[in-house]
Amino acid sequence: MPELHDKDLVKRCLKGDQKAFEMLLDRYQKPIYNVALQMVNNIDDAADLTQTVFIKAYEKLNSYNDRYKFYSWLYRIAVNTSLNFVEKNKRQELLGDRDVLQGSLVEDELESLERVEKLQEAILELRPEYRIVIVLRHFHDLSYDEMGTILDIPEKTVKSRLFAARQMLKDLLLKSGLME
Amino acid sequence: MMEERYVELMNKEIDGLNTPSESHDLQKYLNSTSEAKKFFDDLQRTVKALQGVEEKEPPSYLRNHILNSIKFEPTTRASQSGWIGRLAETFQSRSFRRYALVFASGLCVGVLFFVFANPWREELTDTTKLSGSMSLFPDLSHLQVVDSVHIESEGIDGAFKTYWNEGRVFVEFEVKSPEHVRVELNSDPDELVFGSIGRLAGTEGDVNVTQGKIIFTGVNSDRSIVTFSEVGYAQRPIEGRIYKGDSLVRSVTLKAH
Repeated sequence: MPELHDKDLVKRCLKGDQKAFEMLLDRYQKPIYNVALQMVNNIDDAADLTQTVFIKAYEKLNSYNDRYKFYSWLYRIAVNTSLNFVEKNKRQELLGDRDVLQGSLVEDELESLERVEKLQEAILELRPEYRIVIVLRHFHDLSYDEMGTILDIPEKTVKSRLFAARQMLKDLLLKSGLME
Repeated sequence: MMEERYVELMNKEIDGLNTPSESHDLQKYLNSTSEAKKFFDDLQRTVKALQGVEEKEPPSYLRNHILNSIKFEPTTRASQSGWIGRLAETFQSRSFRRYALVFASGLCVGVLFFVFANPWREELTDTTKLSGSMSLFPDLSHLQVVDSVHIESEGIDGAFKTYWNEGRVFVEFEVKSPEHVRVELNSDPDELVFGSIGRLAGTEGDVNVTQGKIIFTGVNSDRSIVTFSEVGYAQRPIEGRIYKGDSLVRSVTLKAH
């Protein structure tokens, strides 16, 4: 069976087809969970946020405009939900982030763990509007244009924000000793 | 301090978006400036560090949690095609809401400005247009009463007060009667020019301004305030007359100063 396009699945969802929604969920659960995780740095909160995002998406599915990509629309909900959460909770405590980033290491485990922790800590130091551009660009590989759509800002603003965020992150990594 | 253009080129280089010519320009610049070279190297290392982070798998329970929290049923799709859809979409966009908020704020400021500080207030010359309409209702609470007359006769209950403030004379009146009456306010047009009338309530058309007279007709004028502007120093009093039919039943004179 050929893979159904997102837009077709949305149409089927609107007719009450649970299977179609399950397919969308399987397709996007992981990236949405990771956006949330990278923004809030807490597994439980990220899971709650992911759940909220998909519930919201289902409830608002009839307002989705198929002129846009479905994942952009879904990311937008995820970003707004995460940013609202961060705003409400401000700075998240750095908890056992070994849970968060473990398994993503490419070098010697312990050394890498420390490096990733420092990196995550530095990312969390960024203000949410800068953090999100780093997350979308470097962890989700989205284009400037897609980021602009998701964040509802002009591409020019995306660029300036991303460039500034990278520079801030660079300074934070130098300060933390992660880079010399 | 590095030029902004080169900072942008560095970022674009990292994203793989530079043209060959831009890459060449950047390389030339980096070769000429050690500070810029270090900045670019650090930036590249930062991005490389980010590449070491991979996606995590969501908890295994999450999928079922999500599915169990949704009630699946057919939904009517909102119209998104055609100009209605585009209009609806525009209304829903954040930028529209932002502009709408700015516009609404500006409108509120404008309305408040007109209510409290209308600079054209004295330029109202076509006073007949104000007939019986709710207009400006000035706050007189901070002014001293210049003259006050209260009448109670033939079932008519009326009160007239005058106030003065910086070249303006305000006549506040309220007349109630069991039957229709006509209340006229007369002033000397060489001394006082009618400006506006403000009313707390009233019926459309029950106050008319004609030939320098302010005329109320009805059984309850409600609280009304007539504003005059002084041409010179108003020496003559303002006259208030109350008629029943064609018969003058009462007249009062009110000092402007």
